[in-house]
Amino acid sequence: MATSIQTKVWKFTDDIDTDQIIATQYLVNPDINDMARYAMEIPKPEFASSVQAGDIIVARNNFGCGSSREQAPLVLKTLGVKMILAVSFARIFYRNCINLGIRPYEIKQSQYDLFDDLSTVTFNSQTNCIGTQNETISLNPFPPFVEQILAAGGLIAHVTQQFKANQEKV
Amino acid sequence: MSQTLTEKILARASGQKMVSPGDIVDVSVSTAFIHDVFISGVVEEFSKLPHKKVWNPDGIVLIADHEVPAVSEWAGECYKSMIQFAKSQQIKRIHIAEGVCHQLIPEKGYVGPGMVLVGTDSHTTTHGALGAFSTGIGTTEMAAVLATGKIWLKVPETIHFELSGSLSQGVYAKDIVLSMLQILGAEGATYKAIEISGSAVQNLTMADRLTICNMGVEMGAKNALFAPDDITMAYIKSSGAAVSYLAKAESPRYERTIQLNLSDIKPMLAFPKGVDDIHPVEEAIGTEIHEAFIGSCTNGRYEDFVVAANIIRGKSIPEHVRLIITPASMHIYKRMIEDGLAIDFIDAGAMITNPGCGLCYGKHGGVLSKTDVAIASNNRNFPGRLGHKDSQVYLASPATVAWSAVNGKISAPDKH
Repeated sequence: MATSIQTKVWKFTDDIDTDQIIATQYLVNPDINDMARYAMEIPKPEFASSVQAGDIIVARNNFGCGSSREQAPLVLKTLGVKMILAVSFARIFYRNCINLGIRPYEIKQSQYDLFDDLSTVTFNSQTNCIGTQNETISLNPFPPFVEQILAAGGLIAHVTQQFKANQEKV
Repeated sequence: MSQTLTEKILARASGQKMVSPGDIVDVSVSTAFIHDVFISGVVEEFSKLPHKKVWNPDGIVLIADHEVPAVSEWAGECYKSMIQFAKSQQIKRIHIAEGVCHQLIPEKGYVGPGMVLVGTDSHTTTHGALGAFSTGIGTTEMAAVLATGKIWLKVPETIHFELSGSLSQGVYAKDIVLSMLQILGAEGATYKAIEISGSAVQNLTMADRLTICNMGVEMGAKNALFAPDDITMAYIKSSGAAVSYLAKAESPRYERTIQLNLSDIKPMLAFPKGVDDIHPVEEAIGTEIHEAFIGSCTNGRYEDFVVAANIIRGKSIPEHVRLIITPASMHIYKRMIEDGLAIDFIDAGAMITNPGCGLCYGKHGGVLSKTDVAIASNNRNFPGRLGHKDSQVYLASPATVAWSAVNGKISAPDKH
């Protein structure tokens, strides 16, 4: 199994709020795939149509601030984003990411500066490292409990797995 | 160094001897509540789980408060979904149009010291007033809580406010929390707990503490709390709440301690720019207002209406001002009728609405027009919160709102 993959970086600045991730007027759309076409419409209009499954979002401070709408991480997940690197995350968005199975990694400002928008980087899932053009960045592992939720693909899947595991014991 | 109050409660609820900031813990929930806006979403997520039955029907509270009376053709479906879920899960704690969740929960005895409370509302920080750990969560998380009775939490650092001195004439709990916001800003406590103690705390009523903890989330806090004391015990004796755990923190390790002398605090306002644009009332004196609102989970309690009625009684509100009075629960509303406060407000020209969240989230019961300027006792004033995006809202204590309503322009309660 290949442990290293090439992936594209979508770089954002500070305070990308949930309204920028998905604007209020699209929230009424019952079809999440259709809604996802409007993700990041204001900060990066080309994002939704060009992003590929596995691409990485890199942002600076307070990513995901604003309203608690779960549709914000959900549209990103729908578009195939599995990992977000940010200098800091808004609290509810951070929780929502983990609960939906997206990996929110906190990085340093100096590491943020190593990424170029739309560049290609290498992600090694075995070492949990990202290789940029000049340097290798080691991502901090999640606590085992959070890793379990992420590995299951999110909170609902995790709770379901646990329920089934408990039933088998009985 | 001992643990903070938040750490002690989370350690106990996760079955550990001690926890430290940054630890991720799996916590047992005492009480979980859901309001009408999110009930459908929670029920939908819950239905995807194999559990079928909730973890504990008596640990769940369902409250319809945002959309009452119905503001859309959707609302009626929310109540039905709530009633049906309560029936199928044998949940007895269901309240439709009886009051705002953050008033009903303490009032009905659903929260007591040491409990862990989660709710689908950001102002769930309110219940720390009773010495509980209390925080807002999303719909997916709530579905998992309903199924398992557990939630994962990252143990927060604690910012400590030490209150000394005593409040001057015309200064109230709202002015304390607005002063805290001035110090910390809207993101100053993000991820963190706020613990409030000090010699001045013994003079703060439960209503005062609820007001202060309510706005903890406006500083970004995960939770805000007071250690339980005689005032807490007297309150829960009458509400009938259980005591889960009486946590007292002795010289704990705080991230930092901020001293606040209540004697220095003046009547304050959050200016329309945002909840942390805090100025003394005197900087806005004379600003013409069109609407004055006393209500919400921040300041819609009986004590607030006594203060306001003492100011308004016998006067009449100018023609250009709409004064809106929204008691936070039916229990408060009934007391206002029995004690004559309701008549005082009506005689002065006020409108009294049913208990609910309508105006505070800009949906109904007094929404503002483009050119309206309002002074309000609630907790948020970001653009468009109470109506049109260009309307202007000043946040203030009920006393400041009442004097401003009487005068038709922003007025300071300590100057009368």
